[in-house]
Amino acid sequence: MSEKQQNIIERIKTYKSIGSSSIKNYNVNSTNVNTTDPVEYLFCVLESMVGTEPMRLIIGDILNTFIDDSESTMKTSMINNSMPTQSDTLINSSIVTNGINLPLNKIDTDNKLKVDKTSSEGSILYGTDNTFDNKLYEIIQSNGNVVSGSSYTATYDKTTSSVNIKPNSGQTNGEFITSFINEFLLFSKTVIIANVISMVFGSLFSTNISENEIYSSLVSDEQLKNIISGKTDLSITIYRNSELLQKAKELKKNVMSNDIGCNINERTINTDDLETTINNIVDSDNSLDISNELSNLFDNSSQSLDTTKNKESEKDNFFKKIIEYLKLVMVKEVTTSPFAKTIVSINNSLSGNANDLDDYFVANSKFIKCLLKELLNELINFIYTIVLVYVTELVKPIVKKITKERVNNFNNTMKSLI
Amino acid sequence: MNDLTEINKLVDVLYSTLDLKSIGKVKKIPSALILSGVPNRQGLSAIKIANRIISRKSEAGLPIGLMQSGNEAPDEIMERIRIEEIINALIQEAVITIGVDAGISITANGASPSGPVTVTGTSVSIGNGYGVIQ
Repeated sequence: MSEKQQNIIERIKTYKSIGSSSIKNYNVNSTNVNTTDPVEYLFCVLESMVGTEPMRLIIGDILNTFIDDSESTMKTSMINNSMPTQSDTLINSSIVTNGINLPLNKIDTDNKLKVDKTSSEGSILYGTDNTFDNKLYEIIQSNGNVVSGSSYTATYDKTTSSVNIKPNSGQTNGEFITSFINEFLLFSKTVIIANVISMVFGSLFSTNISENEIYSSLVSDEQLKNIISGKTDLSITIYRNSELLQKAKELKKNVMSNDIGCNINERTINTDDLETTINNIVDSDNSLDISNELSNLFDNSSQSLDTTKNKESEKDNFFKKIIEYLKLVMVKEVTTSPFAKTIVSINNSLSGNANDLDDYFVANSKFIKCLLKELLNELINFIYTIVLVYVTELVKPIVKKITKERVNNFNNTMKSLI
Repeated sequence: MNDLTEINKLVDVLYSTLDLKSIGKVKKIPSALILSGVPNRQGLSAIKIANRIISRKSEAGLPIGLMQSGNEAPDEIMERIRIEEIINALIQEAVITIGVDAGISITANGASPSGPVTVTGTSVSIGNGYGVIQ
């Protein structure tokens, strides 16, 4: 397959040469050309046509429209993939009486709930949207008092550090899970952007979470990345493990590291800049403005090395990390977030199945793979539609030339026969 | 919506888009014109083709003709060799097969013991034939 992938890049270069003499040729990294990641490959194709600037604009598009547009599709998919067996049956009375227990350490593997929502970092990380994380935080802070939801009540037990959710009586299994999923915003722009930038700079996790906890979260993310790339073996190589340990150190230090050849340039951002960027992005409906906000965030970051020599390539690297983590964060929201794990737990309880949150990836592989595939397909098609616009522009002059050639061939053939 | 989550499917879609297969389909040349015009054609000439190619070297910004030393330019020699070999292969080795569709109108005249016979109809089966490139 990589031969065909390389062939596409070569053909693009040829078309640029035949179609117009004024467009610059862009070299792409051969490793990226041979990638098995469709998103990475699409950006590689785009880069070979028009350089890296449009990639930044596409990221602006994804933050501007894709996140909102995919909300209802993914909610429907979540409902379909977590519908309990016997969805039309009334909820088992023992579940209504005893509720469903959710140990926090099993559903919040990123330790987000350890971040104080009233802190400056916490207010950014949670946002103000009606998300399940905000509800969970409210339940935990209620000190054992009952908190009501759309179709349930919930309490927090401090001694066992677990949340208990009791569905209201009189509902069917299907009605409850549908109502529960529909109660919350699945993709909060504020939360997604905050999480993405946290993954790049570690800004929001540095004070509240230990390096070891960050490392555990990275291991879980790595396993999810393996599933995204279609691997069945979720184990992590020794080499990759050492990279994750190093990454956990950097995130705890609140830095983004860039290898610029002979040195490592470490960049940091402050919380005020981050908050301004997130607010401006959420309030904007212009993809270019959003892209510029991220660009400004990078420009305002302080660096360890006194150099501007590699700034543009560092910025390209920053945007590539943004798209990599954007994909991961959105996939996490529907597969391994506290919300996803709660839905899985509810489904398992209502269906009378064991609820294995320890071996989560293996025990719930069908749920994870179905939702992951649906979301990735939405994202890849979104990016592909944009890339297709550039491909169409590239081939337009070629099509004109071929059409003219065909007409000339026909006319010349006719003349030669007369 | 296409399922593009697998890289090979995405690559196939991109490849077929860039292949431009549906662009510029050929127009049919009238059969009567072929039958009357083809016998008057001169046939392929490697020398003529090579000369035309070499005369267009200026389009690529390359000089034409003998080098300063007075020798023939190696690239022009190679061009002639290349075209000669291609034309030789086409003339001596190419296989042209023709498919003949059914439904061709037939009118035939003949004789039988009882007098002249005229047959009109259409061919009912497909056929094939061979050709050479000249």
